[in-house]
Amino acid sequence: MFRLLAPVLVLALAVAPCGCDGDDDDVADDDTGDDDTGDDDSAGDDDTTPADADGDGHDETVDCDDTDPAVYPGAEAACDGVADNDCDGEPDTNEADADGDGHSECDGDCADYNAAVYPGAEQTCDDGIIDNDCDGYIDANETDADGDGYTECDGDCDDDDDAIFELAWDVEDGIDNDCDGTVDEDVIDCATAPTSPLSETVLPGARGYHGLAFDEFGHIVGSDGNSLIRCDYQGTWSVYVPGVGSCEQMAYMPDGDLAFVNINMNIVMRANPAGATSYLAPANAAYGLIVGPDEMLYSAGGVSVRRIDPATGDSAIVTSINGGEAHTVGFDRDGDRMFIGTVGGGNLYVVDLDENLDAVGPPQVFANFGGWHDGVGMDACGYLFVVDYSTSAMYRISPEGIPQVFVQWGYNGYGHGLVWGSGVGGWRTDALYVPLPYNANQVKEVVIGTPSAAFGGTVHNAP
Amino acid sequence: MRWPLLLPTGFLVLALACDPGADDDDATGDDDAGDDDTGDDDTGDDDSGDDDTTPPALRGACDLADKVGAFVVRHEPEYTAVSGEVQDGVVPIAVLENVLEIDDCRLMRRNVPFCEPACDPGETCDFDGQCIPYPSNLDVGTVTITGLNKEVVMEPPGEGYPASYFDTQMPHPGFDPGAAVQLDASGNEIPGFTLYGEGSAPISIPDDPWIVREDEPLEVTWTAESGDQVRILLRFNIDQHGATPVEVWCDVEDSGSASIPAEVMNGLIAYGVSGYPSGDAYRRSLDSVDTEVGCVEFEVSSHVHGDLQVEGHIPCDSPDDCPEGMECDIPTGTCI
Repeated sequence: MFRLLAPVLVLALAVAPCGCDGDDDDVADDDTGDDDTGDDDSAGDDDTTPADADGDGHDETVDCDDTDPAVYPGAEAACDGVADNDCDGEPDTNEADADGDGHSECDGDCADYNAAVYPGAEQTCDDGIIDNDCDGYIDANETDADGDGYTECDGDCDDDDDAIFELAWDVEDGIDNDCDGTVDEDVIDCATAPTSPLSETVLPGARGYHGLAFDEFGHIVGSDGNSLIRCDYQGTWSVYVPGVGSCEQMAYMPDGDLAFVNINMNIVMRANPAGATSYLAPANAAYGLIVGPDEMLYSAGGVSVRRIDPATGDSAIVTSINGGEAHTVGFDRDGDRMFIGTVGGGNLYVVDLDENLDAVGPPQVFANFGGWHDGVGMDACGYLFVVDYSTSAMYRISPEGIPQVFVQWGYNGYGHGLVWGSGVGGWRTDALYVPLPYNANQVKEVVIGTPSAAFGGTVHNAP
Repeated sequence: MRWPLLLPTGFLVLALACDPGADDDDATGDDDAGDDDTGDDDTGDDDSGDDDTTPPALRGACDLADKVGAFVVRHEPEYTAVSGEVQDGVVPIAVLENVLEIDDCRLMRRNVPFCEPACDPGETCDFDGQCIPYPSNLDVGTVTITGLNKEVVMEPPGEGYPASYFDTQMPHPGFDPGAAVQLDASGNEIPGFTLYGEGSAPISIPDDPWIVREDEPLEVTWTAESGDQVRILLRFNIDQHGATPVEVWCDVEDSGSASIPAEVMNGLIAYGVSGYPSGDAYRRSLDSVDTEVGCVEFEVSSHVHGDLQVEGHIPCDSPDDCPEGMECDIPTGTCI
C-alpha cells in the first residue's frame, strides 16, 4: 500500500505549485528541433534533458564520447583503437604496452607483463611454462619431439633423433650422441682392459666403513663408524646422518633416498636427502645391499638373497645357497644372472634369473677363492670384481670363473666393499671406490680402467 | 616421578626460603664467565632465571631392557652432531646380554634372535622366537637443547620419516667443559620430558696402543678432567668380523687411568680373536628419564678411537702380514 501511495503523493505535490496548464509539449509546441527524447514533461517548457547521442544508454554528462556507442562508463575495453572505452580517465590496459615490448594485448601480446613474450618473440628455455611467441602452443624447444625424454632446452641437440641427448651414451656411430661437440667417446676395448689398477689414491674427506654410495648431487656417502658422512670429489664433507654407527652396505634408491643396513638394530633403514631416517625392512643379518636392474633392493645375509621393495619394505627370498653364508650380491650386464659372494669356504655362486629376476634353479658355484667376499660387481667387459677380506685382495674373475688377483693389499690397506664412481661431480666412472675400515674409515679410489656393467656405450672384444 | 625432577623442586623451595636473591647459575646459555659459584651447591638446578653452572644430579644410563630411546650430543674429533629418537618399545637385538661383570666392567654379548619363518616387514624377532611389531618412532614434540654452543631446536621430520631428530649444523666444539646442558621435549605422542647433561673437554688419549695380554689387566690412560658428573666409557672389541659379537664396556671415573680386570679381558679373549681389534673411549655425562613407554637417555659426550692390540694375536690378511715363521690363519685373520 505504501509503495503505491507514495508516487501519487509526489505527483500531486509537483503539479500543484507550478500551475501547469496542461500543455505538455509534444503537440504543436514550440520545440522546433525538438530535443525532447529525454522529455521531462515540465509544462510549457523547452526541455533541456541531456542527450544520449550515440544511443549507448549513457547521456553526454557521463559518456566521455557520446558519438561512439562503444564508449561509456563501464564499457568493455575493446581492441578498437579507442584509448579509453570505459571513460575512467585511464588508458585501457589492452590497448597499452605494459611491459614495454612493443606489443599490447590488442596486438596479440598474451602476457603483457613479460617483455619476453609477444607475437614473434624468440623462444626461450623456461621449463615449458611460457608460450613466448603467443601462438598458443608450448614452444618447440620445450617439447620432446623425438620422445627421448629430453627437449632442446634440456640439452637435446637433435630433437628428431631419440638416440641423441645430453646424457646419452656416445656410442661408436660417428655421431655426437651426447651433444658435447665430440663423437664416439663411450667406447671401450676389453682387449686392453688393465689387469691391475692404473692408480690408487686415498681421498681427503670421504669416509666409509663397509659400504659406500653415490648420490645424484655428486657426493659419496659412507660411515665413519659413528655417522654417515657425505663428501664431494674435492674433499668437502659434512655430516649427513649422525649417530647411526658403523653401517654395512648401502645404496641409493630410485626415489633418491639412501637405503643402508644398520648393524646394531639389524634393520634396513632409509634416509632422505635431508638426513631424516626411518625403518624400511628387517635386515635378516644382511651385509650386502644393492639396487638391482629392476630398481628393487637386493640384500645378502644368512643363507639367502632377498628382494626388498623400496616403496613398501616387503621382502622375499630370491634364492638361498647351500654352503657358507651369503654376504654380497651383484648382477651381470643383462640382468639375467646374479652373483653371490660368501663368507666361509670361498665359493662365489651364480644363479640364472628369469625376466622377473626370479631365480631359475639353485645357485651354482661359479668360482672359488678367498673366503670372505665383501663386495661384488661386474664391469662393462663382463669381468667380476670382488674384494676378499680373507686374502686382503681385489680379484678380477673372468666370465669363465677364473679368479685373478687384481691388487693385493697389505695391513690396513684392505678395501671392505666396492662401488663404481657415479660420473657426477668428478667421480670417475672407470674407478672403484672402496672403504678402508682398518685405516681410519678413509676411502680409496682404485682406477681399474673399465666402467660398471651399467655402461651403455660400445664394448669391443668383450671376453 | 623421577629423582632429578624432584631434586630441583626441593632445592627451589630451600633456595627461596634461605635467600631469595641467591645466585643460582642458569642452565641455559649462562653468564658464568668468572662467576661466583665456586663450590656451588647447585646440584639441583632450579632455572629460576639466575646464574647456575651445574646441572642437577644425573641419573645415568637406562637399563638396556627398558631403553626405548636416546638423545646424543657427540663430539667427534672433526665435528659435533646431535641425534636422537624415542620408540614405543624396546628393540630386542639392542638388549645385550651381560655375561660377566667385575667392578666397573662388563662383558656384553649381542644375541641375535631367530624367527622361522622370518618376520614380515614392519616386524622384528624377539628372544622368544616370536615376530613382534618393530618399535615405531614417537613424535615427542619440539626438542630443545640449551647450554651448548648453539641452541638446538629440533622438530620431528615430516610424513614418512617419523621423529628422527638430528642437527648436523653444530659448531665444533659443540659444548664447553662444565656447560650445564638441558634437553626439553615438549611432548606429543607421549608427555614432554626434561633431561640434563654436562659438557666436558674432548677426551684425549696417548698414541700408545692398548695392549691386551692374557691373565693381565689392561691399563688404559687418558688426560683427566674435572667434570662433576662426567665419566669415561671404554669399549673393547677384539672380534672385528662379528663371528662372536662380544664387547667389553667399562664405565669408570674420569681419573685419567683405569685398570681393566684380567678376568674380563680373559673372558673377551675366550670368545675369540680375529681380524683387527678396536677400542673406543668416550667422556660423557649420562642422564635418563622414565617415560610412559620406557626409559630415554641423554648423553653429552666426546669420543676417540684407540689402538687396541692383542699380544700374541698378529692380525693378518695375507701371509705377507705375518712375521717369519708364522702363517696367516685366514678364517681368524691371525698369524699363527
